[in-house]
Parts: sequence; structure tokens; C-alpha cells
Amino acid sequence: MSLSYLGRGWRSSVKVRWVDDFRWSAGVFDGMVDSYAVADLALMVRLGRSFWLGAHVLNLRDDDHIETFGGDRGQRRGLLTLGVTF
Amino acid sequence: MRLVKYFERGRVLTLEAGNASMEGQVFQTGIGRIRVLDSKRPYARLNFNTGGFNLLAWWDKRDAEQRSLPAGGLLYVDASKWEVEIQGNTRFARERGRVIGGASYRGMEVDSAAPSGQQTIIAAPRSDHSAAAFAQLDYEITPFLHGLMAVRVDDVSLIDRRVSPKASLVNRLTRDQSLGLKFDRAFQPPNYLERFLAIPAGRPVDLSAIESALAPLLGGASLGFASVPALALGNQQLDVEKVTSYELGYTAVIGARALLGASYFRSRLEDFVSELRPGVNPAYAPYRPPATLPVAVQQAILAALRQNLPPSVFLAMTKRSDGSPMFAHSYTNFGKVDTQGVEWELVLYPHMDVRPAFAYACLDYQVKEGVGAAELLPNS
Repeated sequence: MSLSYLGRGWRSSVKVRWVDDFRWSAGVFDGMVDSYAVADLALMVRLGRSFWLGAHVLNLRDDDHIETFGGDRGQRRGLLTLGVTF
Repeated sequence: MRLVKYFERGRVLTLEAGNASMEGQVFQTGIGRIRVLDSKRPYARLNFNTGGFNLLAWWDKRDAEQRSLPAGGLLYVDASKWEVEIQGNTRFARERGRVIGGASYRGMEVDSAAPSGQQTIIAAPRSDHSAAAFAQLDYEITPFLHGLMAVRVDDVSLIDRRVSPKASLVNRLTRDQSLGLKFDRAFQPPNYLERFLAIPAGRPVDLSAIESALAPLLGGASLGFASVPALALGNQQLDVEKVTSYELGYTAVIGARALLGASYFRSRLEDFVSELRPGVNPAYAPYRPPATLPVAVQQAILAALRQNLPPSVFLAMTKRSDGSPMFAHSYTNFGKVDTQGVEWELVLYPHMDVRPAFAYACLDYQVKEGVGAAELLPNS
């Protein structure tokens, strides 16, 4: 589920992803992955005529969950982008 | 960093390069969990596009030091890939048809040597290549019926030549609704680990008690049972994993305020690559005692091993090229699974600036052939 907004000089979107619980099996790693929901945020702002700044935050709520049985726990991650037009 | 240069007549040049550093991440592999201690992944990409022509070239590299969590040892990877692809397209029959064609060439190199020079993951450095040619034909058969046919031929140094076809038909039911039918067949080759892995799978096994008990029969010959190595080895005879899919899709524009898309798909997946298993690699035949011994003694040795080792351990016992015994676990192709699923998406346009969207996907599967349902899960 997502909601996008396109403003004058900026745009944003929020996306929520829900995954039902499921069983994972890969070698000795065999077990249940509990249901989880994560929200991502994307934002882009135009700065003057030449610059734009983008931000993308994955797992906005820093929800502590696993997406694979035996893998890393989920953590919030962010990506910043700076663009120049010349 | 990415640089995009716009030329006249719509031509665009994109240059991109960067480096990703990573440490601390844990990921699963066929040889257990691995923690990344230090990984650097530089990359570069070039794309030149005109209306009817596209040139794409890219290169990436992974230089990593990792720790195997089950075994504790350090694993090193120095791998790089590069590819050049050219593609052209043109329209014909007064814009009713379009043909796209192209070719690509990829080079791959991988080395797992430690600073001491000893390989840590694969037996020896590898250098491989693949070439592909592809073509696609789109044609507006009638104002309401659009057809597409495409084929891709892959010629890879590690597998037999593969042909991957694709076809679709889209029928416009009304001005705002369409119904589409799609077929495609694709493959995924085994990775380097599954083909060329060569690492210890555990500590060497001491079978000297069995050899001592058999000593009166051996006449002084040695069986080499004092320290039998246990190895995880790749299988160079692996086939590719295959998938054949059919999809029925429906799209509709609802009152200029909503876009609805829904599809149902069925797929057959075959020849999965297994986990590491004993006795599955034809390159490592079941263990046979030295042929210099009398047949009755050979049979007594096998009977003693069968009686004293768990069945899966006995199954893993084989010989090295020098004739000494070892335990080998390797990969094999197996299984046939049918999957089906439904996906739908609804995008609303209540206002020029706001766009809510809703999507749902579900997947069902049925194991047709397999070693056991527990080993064939979709993991999703």
C-alpha cells in the first residue's frame, strides 16, 4: 500500500509492505519467519534551479524483525542523494 | 556518482561509477552462514542511447574478507564481471510493427586465494564468459489485438547452449480494458559455489579403530583411515534450474480516476540445485577398498564400514584422486514444483497531486517430485 504526493518543487511517498508469516528452509536453517510490516519513506526536494536533494529511508519505524530464518535482523537504512543539473 | 549528458535529437549519455563498502552483514550460503568482515564493491556503467540504438557497458568487482560462522575459517573472494551489450530497434509496416535485436558478451573472473596464496572457497581461480543474442517482434495484428514474440539464445562456457522463448497476446476488450496472455521459459545457471566449491566440511574423521580391527586381513597394507578428510565439493555436471510460466492478465481504467491490474500465473520449476548431500556427485564414486586386496577382504572392509558408520556418513565416503579415502558432500539437481498465484494492484487518482496505491500478491505451490516437501519451500 502506498501514498504519493507530488507538490510544487518536491515529491514524497510512503509505502507500507505487509508479509504474512511463512516457513523458511535452507540447509540447517529451518523455521518460521513471523509476519512483519515495514514502512519506507521517499522524499525529493528541489533546491533552486540546479540542485535537488533526495532521501530514501527503508524500515522507517526501525521495526525489529527477520525476513529470512537465520539471516540478519531488519534495521532502518537511509540513502541520501544530491543531484546537480548544469 | 552519475553524470548524464543530453545531446541533440534525444541522444543521452550516462556515466556512472561508485564504490560500496560493507562490514558486519551476515548472509546464508550453501556452506552455512558467513559474516562479512570487510567488503568493497566498486562499479562503473556506461550507457549511450539514441532513439533506435542503445549501447550499455558495465563492470563490477567484489573484494571481500569473510568469516565462515560454522567452521570459523577466513574466506576470501576477489571476483569481477563485465558486460557489453548493443541493441537496436526499428519500426515497420507503417508503425504497426517493431523489431528489436541485440547481442551481449560477459566476462567473469573469480579467485578465492588467501594472502598466503592458498584457495579458501574454490579449488582454483576461474575465468569464464557468456555470449547472448536476442530478438523481439511486436506487431499490431488488428487494432484490438497486439502480439509479441521474443527469443534469447545464451552460449555460456559453463553450460550447454540455452534458448529462452517468450510470447504474448494482448486483446483490447474495450477502449479502457484489455486482456493479455503470456508465456515464457527461462533458466538460472548454478553459481560458482555450487560448481567449484572445495572447502573442509568438518574435522577429519579418525577411523583407525576400524583399520586396527581389520589389520589381520590387510597383510600390512594401509587403508589411510587414521585421518579421513571431510570435504564440501562443487558439482561441475550440474544442470540449470528451469522455469516455464503462463500468465493471464487484465487491466482496466475505471472512470479516469483509477487503474486496476490483476493477473493469475502458473509456473513449473524443475531441476533445483540441492543443499550439500552425500553420494550425489557422479565424480565421486562410492568408496572401494584398494583393488590390490583380495575381493573377500575388500568385502569385509566395506561390511565393517557399513556396520560402524551412520548411513549418511557411509554414503559420503569416496576416494580422492590419489586413492586415499575421503568424505564428500556435494550438490545435485532434483525436484519438480508447480506454483500458481494471483497479483493485483489498484492505483487511484483522486487529485492531480495525490496517488494512493494498493497491491496484493499470494503464492501457492505443489511439490510434484522431490526428496521431501520440507526441502522444497518457496521461502516467501
